Amino acid sequence: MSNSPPLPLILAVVGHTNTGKTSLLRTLLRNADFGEVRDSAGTTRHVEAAQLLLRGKPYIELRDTPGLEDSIALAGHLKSTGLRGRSCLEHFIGQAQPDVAREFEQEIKVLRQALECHAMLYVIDCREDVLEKYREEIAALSLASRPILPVLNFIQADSRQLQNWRTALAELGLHALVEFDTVAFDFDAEKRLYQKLQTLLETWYQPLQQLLDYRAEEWQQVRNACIAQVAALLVEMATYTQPPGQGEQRAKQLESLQNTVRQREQHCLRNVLELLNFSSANVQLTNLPVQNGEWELDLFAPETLKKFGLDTASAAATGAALGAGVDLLLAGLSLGAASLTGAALGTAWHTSRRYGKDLLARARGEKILCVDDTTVNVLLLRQLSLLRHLFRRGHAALGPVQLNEKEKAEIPSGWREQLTRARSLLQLKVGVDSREYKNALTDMKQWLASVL
Amino acid sequence: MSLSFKQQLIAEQIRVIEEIQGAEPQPVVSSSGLNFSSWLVARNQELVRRTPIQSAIQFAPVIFRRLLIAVSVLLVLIGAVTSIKALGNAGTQLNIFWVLGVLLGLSWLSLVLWLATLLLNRDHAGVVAPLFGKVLGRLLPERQQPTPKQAAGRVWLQRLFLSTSGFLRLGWITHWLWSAYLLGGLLGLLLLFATRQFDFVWQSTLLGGDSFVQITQTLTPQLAALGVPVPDAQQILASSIDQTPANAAETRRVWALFLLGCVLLYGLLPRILIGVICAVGEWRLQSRQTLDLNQPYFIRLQREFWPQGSHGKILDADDRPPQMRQTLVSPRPPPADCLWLGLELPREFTLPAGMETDFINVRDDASQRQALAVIQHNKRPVAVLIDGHKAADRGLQRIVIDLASASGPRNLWLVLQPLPAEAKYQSWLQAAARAGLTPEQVTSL
Repeated sequence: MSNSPPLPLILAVVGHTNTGKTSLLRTLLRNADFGEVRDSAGTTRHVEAAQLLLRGKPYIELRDTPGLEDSIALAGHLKSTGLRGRSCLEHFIGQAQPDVAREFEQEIKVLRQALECHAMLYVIDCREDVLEKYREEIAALSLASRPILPVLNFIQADSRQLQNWRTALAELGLHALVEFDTVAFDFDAEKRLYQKLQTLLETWYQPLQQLLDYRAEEWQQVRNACIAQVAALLVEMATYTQPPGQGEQRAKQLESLQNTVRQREQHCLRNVLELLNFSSANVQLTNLPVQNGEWELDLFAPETLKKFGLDTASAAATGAALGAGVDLLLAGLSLGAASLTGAALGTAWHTSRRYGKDLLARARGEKILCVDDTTVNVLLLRQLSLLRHLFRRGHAALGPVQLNEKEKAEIPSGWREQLTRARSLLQLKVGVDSREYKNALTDMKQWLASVL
Repeated sequence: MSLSFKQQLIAEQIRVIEEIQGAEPQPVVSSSGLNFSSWLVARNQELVRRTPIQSAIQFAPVIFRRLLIAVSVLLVLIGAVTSIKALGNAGTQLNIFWVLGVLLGLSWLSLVLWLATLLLNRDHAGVVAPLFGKVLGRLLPERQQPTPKQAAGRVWLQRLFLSTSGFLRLGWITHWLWSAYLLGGLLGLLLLFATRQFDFVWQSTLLGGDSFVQITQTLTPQLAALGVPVPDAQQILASSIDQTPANAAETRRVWALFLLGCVLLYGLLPRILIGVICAVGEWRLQSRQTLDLNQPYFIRLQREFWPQGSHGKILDADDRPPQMRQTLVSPRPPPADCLWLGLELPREFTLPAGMETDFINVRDDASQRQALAVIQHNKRPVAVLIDGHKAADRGLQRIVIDLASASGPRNLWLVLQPLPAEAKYQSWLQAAARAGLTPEQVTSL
């Protein structure tokens, strides 16, 4: 006999007004367009439901409710019914005088959901003091005889009240709670939320575990996909070359090189935003020059170098982070080595095929253009900052997410080796389909994952 | 479900085609009850069946097949012509071991070279197949703005020739082409032996008859095991250039079969065998390859047809009319001798400079009752200090109304510190209006 619980599990998201209930839904749904979020009381005045799906099947139905605004007056009305538990709420909802029903329309909507749901997520703005009105809210919701899981929101902004909240909630018999910041996202916190629900709702343990596993896998996939985008950008740009040129042609080629780098970086940004489900329009990062999904500050502007604490003097020496001219043969590969490599590959024909143009260019005194180290370093730092921002950004975030100033300007250890490895592909003259290129890309991905 | 190599290849080809076309991908098949991989396979099969995508997917394999057939036929012809030319010009006497060297020597030399280059650099092993790969690369070059056919072809080339299993594909192509050449040679020999009569001889300045007997007998056991008649020691010795065999016709037949058998067993069969090993190796390596589902296209597909969440649905609508916006006016400061109260001021709230700290902060029912008593006792104008970060909810509005009733609406000021942004300011103007206060009475220090 199957005793699987009914799905979806219905969770009412309740709490005082303006505590981030809709934000919690946005973040759990990874949908920045759900409901309306404003820094003002009474933004949500209706009950709106959305479901978390697993392979098309609804597992959890989250119901966003209006905020509780006047719990002290509500408590008086509930007491006046002379009833306890669910019948008290049912009586109040069904039998309230028209003026009372009008006055407490929002609260009635919430209480109705409290009666209908399997459990409640009680969202708390933990920047707030623990006030009597919050205790009354919890007392009123407890009458529905459904498990309540307090969700402490905005912990990143101000956690000074956290202990007071923990004590107050414990006094009310709510020992299981979860710290979950809807703005500064942390997947581990989301995991803890589901795990706490598992302890509160034992019947739904298995479906919740399935959903948790699925979302963990999905989050890892998205993270890896973003890292893969950045790794591909870095290796591609570190190995990108343009044929040698002189005079006017050289200037044009430099410009074309810069444009290629810009476009490639822009392409990477677009993909990362899309992978993380952020629309270009709603991501505003003050610490990063990203506006409307585009890099605002040009990659080659001196300000960009300064911003990342890079040596602007050395950049000026190479033409303010223009593509540097690199003589590939002088960059570590002697003619003898080229011949040896050619011999090792089987035929001298290979040598001429692979290095012939370089040899010719060298004889003419021309240099092959590639993206210089400073530019690749800026690319790295910008991408690391971007990923750090976005991996920690909840879908409810409206304002900028602050970046650790120290962290953003430092080139992580191990980068030099990665860059050298990628540059060595230039010397080997292998294409993107080669084993060497793919190995370098895999290494870069692993290194980025370890850095992030 | 894990995708087979062929399914992965088609998925990649459809990916590049849909990315080029830029159109919104269509679900095509229902996703219910399937996992993503199964659904992807079903969708791709349906797309291939229903849309012109198939011609784009088939473009490169068709070129490959045609090229392979054309080159194979050419090599069969070259092999046949070479053997006919080599033997046909030799007159009626054929030097057995010289012919054997000509027929098998080149093949064995190239086999050794192939193995050597494979050990040195497996991606560029040999000459024939890399050349073949280059021709294919020329036919399917990387383009800035490829057509669906070109892009799908390029993916095919990358997955089959430039991936980890690519060297084995080049390997079996190498041996396939050599097999074609040797088959041509064998056919040429058959044709010659069937239509012309040769006397098979051996000659040497340095080596004696024993050496030739030994060489021949090293090669014959395998042939004999296959039922091919082989020359005995007497026939070998009798085939020396300066001797005439006793049974010339039989000796000729045995030597002809020996030569054909050697080309088949030591030329064609090793090539076919190594080719099959390469093909099996390629299949095994291909089966270990996985589709990179982390690519934005696949994640987008997953999201569109396997959404993480449904769209919002209103369950209990709000039918109240929207609140009227209050007009902004210049606020009036509270009188200097007013009685100060706080309204839910946080413990860490920074009071305006010079302000006394001993006022009542209304935080609960008890402090509200205490504040109302003080207002009624003092009969002075009242200024309520409010944290400007807070919006006025109905609970706070009720307190403001109670305070206004006690002090008289004209004697109450709401002092927002700091002055909030528009939305929150509006909420306090609404609260003030409900309590009978004018907008001027909502102020800031």
